[in-house]
Parts: sequence; C-alpha cells; structure tokens
Amino acid sequence: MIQEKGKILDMKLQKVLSVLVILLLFGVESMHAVAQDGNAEAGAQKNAMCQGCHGIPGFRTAYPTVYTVPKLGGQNALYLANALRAYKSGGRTHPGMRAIASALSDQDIADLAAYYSENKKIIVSTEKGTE
Amino acid sequence: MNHIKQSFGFVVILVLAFGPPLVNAQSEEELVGIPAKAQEVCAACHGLDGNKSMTPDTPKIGGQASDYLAEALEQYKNGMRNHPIMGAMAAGLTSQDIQELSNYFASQTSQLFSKY
Repeated sequence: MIQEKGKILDMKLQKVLSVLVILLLFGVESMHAVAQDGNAEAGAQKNAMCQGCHGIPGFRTAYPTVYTVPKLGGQNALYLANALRAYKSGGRTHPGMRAIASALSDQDIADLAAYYSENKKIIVSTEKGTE
Repeated sequence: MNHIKQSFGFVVILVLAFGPPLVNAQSEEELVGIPAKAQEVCAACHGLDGNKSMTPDTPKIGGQASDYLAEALEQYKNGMRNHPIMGAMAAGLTSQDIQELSNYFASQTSQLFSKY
C-alpha cells in the first residue's frame, strides 16, 4: 500500500518535471523575439505617445471601458515588447493601444520596452494613486 | 502552433490543479489571508507576492492597479486577450475570484511605478 503510494508520488513528480522541461523549452522559444536589442535612451525619445496616459499615476482610460492604465516602469522588458507586438498584431484589442502600437517599428518597440523596464525613475510619483 | 500552445496551457493547468503544491517555502502562518487561488494557481509563475516572474515574459503584477488586473483577467477569460496559459487559468475564475486576486496582488509591495 505504502509502496503503491510512493509509486504514484513518483509518477506525479515525473509529470511535474516533464512539464517544467516543456515550460523551459517554451520559455526559450518565446524569448527569440528579445533578440532585438532595445536602447533605453532611444526609447526615452520615443515615448511622447505613452506619457499622456502611462506617465500619470492613477490615470484611467475612458474607452472602451474605464480602468486604471497599468504601471509600466520596472516591468519586464520582454513582457512589454510582447504586449506592444500583440497590440500591433491584434492579439490584444485596446483600440487606443492598437492605434499607437501600429505605428511602431520593431526597433521602436525594443527601445520603448528597454526604457520602461529600466528601474530608473525619471519622475517619481508621490501619490500612491492607483490602489 | 496555436494548437500546440493551447494543449500546452491545458497540461499546465492540469498540473497546477492536481499536482503537488508548488508553493511550499512559506510557513502555514504566513499564508493566512492570502487567497487560495493566488497560492495554488498564480504564484507558480508570478510569485506569491506577484514580484517573482518565473520567465522574462511573465509580467510583475505585485502592486499593479487592481482594476487593471481585474480587467486583464476578465479579458483572458472572455477571450479578448489571447494567451494560452492565462486563458486556461482565467477560465476557472469566478468574478469574485477575479476581484479577490486583483485586490490581493495590487496590495503587495511593488517594483512597478508610473514612469513618464
């Protein structure tokens, strides 16, 4: 009985391990897009379209639904780049973001992702604001 | 490719649902008050406080705006936002789960900030 339990546990462990391996492979696969090197300083010159919403602590988007825009500062660069690419391709549907992302080149996206992921506060928000 | 990703998401959710708990570094006391699904589902990739991304394409969610997090989860659930893993995770959440989880992660310490 105990032996059987141990066996089941072993099988479970094997399953978890194999999924982790798959996850790693996928993780690597999904990282290919990061090959494009972003330049944070260049990104800082390209973010005029971002500032009006994402630069204001607690700013809420009004359309199509009302909610606080996400904080981007300090976010993972690859996530940010993927988000912009998804807006551009239609995988993410916010109309305002789609319009903005459509105008960005791959290099723009990489630069903006580098700029926002950088843990350097250009303007420090003093409000807590968004919770 | 999409097909593979979808079935992959399915496998992940199965393992998360029925596999052993992935968060075991915390003592029982430290886990009091943390929504069960945050521990069982979200923490595996986002970290228990939403600040430990398991892969570089996983966003930090600790301290992110709660209504944004809720909106994102609703969109994953209803298919407006496409992600094989998050779609599978959000499919199992009720509106109340989404509120609880969003409030919980929004209230964590944050590495995120509004950047001009």
